Amino acid sequence: MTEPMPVISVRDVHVDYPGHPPVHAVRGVSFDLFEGEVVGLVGESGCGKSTMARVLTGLVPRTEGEVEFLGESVEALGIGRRPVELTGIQMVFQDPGSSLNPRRRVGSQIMDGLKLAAYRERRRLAELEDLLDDPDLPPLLTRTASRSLPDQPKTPAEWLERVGLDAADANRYPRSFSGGQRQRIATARALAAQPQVLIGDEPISALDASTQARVAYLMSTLAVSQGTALLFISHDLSVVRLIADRLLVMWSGRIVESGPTEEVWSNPGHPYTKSLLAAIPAPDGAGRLPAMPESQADFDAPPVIH
Amino acid sequence: MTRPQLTADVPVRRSLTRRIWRAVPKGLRQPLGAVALLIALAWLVVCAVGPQIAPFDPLAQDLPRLAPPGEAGAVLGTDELGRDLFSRILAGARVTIGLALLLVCLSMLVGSTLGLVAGFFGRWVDEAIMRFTDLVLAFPTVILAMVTAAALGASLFNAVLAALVVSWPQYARVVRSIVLGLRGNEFVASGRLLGFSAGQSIRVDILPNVTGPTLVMASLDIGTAALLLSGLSFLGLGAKPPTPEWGSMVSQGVTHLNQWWLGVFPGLAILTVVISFNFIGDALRDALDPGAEKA
Ligand SMILES: Nc1ncnc2c1ncn2[C@@H]1O[C@H](COP(=O)(O)OP(=O)(O)OP(=O)(O)O)[C@@H](O)[C@H]1O
Ligand SMILES: [Mg+2]
Repeated sequence: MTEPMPVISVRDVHVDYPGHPPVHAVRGVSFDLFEGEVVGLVGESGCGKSTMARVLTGLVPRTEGEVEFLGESVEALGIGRRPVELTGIQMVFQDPGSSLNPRRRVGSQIMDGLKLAAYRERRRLAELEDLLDDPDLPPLLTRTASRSLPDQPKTPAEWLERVGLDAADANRYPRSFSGGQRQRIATARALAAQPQVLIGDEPISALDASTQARVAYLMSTLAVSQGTALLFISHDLSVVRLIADRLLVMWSGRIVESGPTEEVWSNPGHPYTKSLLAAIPAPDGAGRLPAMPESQADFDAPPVIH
Repeated sequence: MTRPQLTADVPVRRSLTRRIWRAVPKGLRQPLGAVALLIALAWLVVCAVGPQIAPFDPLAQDLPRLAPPGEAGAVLGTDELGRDLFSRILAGARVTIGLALLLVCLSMLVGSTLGLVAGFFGRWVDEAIMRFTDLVLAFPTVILAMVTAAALGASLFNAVLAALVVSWPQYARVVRSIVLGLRGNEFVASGRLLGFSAGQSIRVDILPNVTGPTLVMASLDIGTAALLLSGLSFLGLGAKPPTPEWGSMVSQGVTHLNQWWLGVFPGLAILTVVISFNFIGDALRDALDPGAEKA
């Protein structure tokens, strides 16, 4: 049996924000993300989840460690255009109020994703043509592949229908949509690019409880249906539990526990995870995260459990 | 049977006028704002057709000298060379307002471009541009404009250049701060993730969100620009005789204190332009500010 190749592999990543003193936001994180899986990254506010998401997309430079996307090192975004090899990683952000450009019709914003997918498809065909002359074995997954599946939406209107909105909404501006609808549109925009990886950085945190689970569910179903790996970041375990195959529990810049969702859920090993679970009220999405239990809070290096 | 036709006709007309009325910013729908709008529009019309509607040739010196208003057919009187003041004010609108508009456009272009580049690229680019901006802003506006105009030599074009030197930095500063705020927006980041180049990002995500506030600022600046240019001409650093420029007309008035009309009427012209354009700028700003909309 061959080991499946991770789409993203993160090795001992550290991130410091400059300052006096510098903030050690991420302190040695390692994990793999495989094709088509849904992984939940949970942890309290300020533990470094967004920083991790931004490192994976290159929006924030890492201080140490390695992030590889299909074997390609992910470098921080400079002033220039993002390398097309890395556009297979897309992201949906937290704030529905600023995740879309207020001055552009939503249809044209979804078009950005479709255009990128088309561009990557052309690149892949060109790569394949080159490979015909190459005596070496062609790789199964190429980085620029957009893996265009037959039943994928081809227009912004189709994408809007796919995320539960109206085809006619393409001509409307973001301000006329609710927060939940905007996050659906942002999801459509990112997934239209046919990425291998979608990162959702607390995409449901700003939504009201009744829409949270629905948007989370939509994101994961759509990602899974097109084979996109989803890294779903949240501080709310009760919703993440519903969609994630695997959980990563982050605390104070480190991953303190990881494993299949049910295992972590029914048999938490780390004290932080235990208090996280204990604090979950009814699964209405309104769950608040607990602080670290007193006895553990002073530990500089938290115990790590795998 | 004419009645149904009437009722079918009237609502259409009403909704059209109402739609136009609705498009006018709220601040200009109040009586005072409407007056300001009318005055500004009237001045723009005068800019276009001023010399044509003037009762006399603004340069002809064939009326009695220093005639008070109403005498010899000169509604606003004549100057010391026997030129009709009213005609000169009408012809001067084109010079003063036209150049003010030119100045505002140039400052907006130069200032916003620098502010945009500084705000978007940050780091040393930002550092360099903003240091330069602060340097210019450190000088008193009028004095720096005067010195520059004097160094360039007195001419209307040089007066515009000199005024440009002092008026672009405010655009740079404001646009930079807007761009800095925008750059932190998630849609800008997601555009970059979707492969936008810096140029695309600026064109698609930044510029459309900057133009509104910048145009408002420009409209607020038209009055100030007219005042600055008139001021330079007043000091003899702008328009040269016999060009009918309001600022230089006021400065002639100062030397004839007994003939009050020489200074008062061109002064009033400047005043109405400054006030009416400021009013429009204010109304536009309020219309664009979502907080003010609710109040
Ligand atoms: N640009 C920045 N400059 C300096 N420090 C930062 C910056 N961004 C985040 N931090 C700090 O880094 C730490 C981790 O922040 P991060 O945003 O990654 O946390 P988070 O887990 O996403 O929290 P939340 O759930 O509130 O979004 C925090 O202590 C935060 O104050
Ligand atoms: Mg965060």
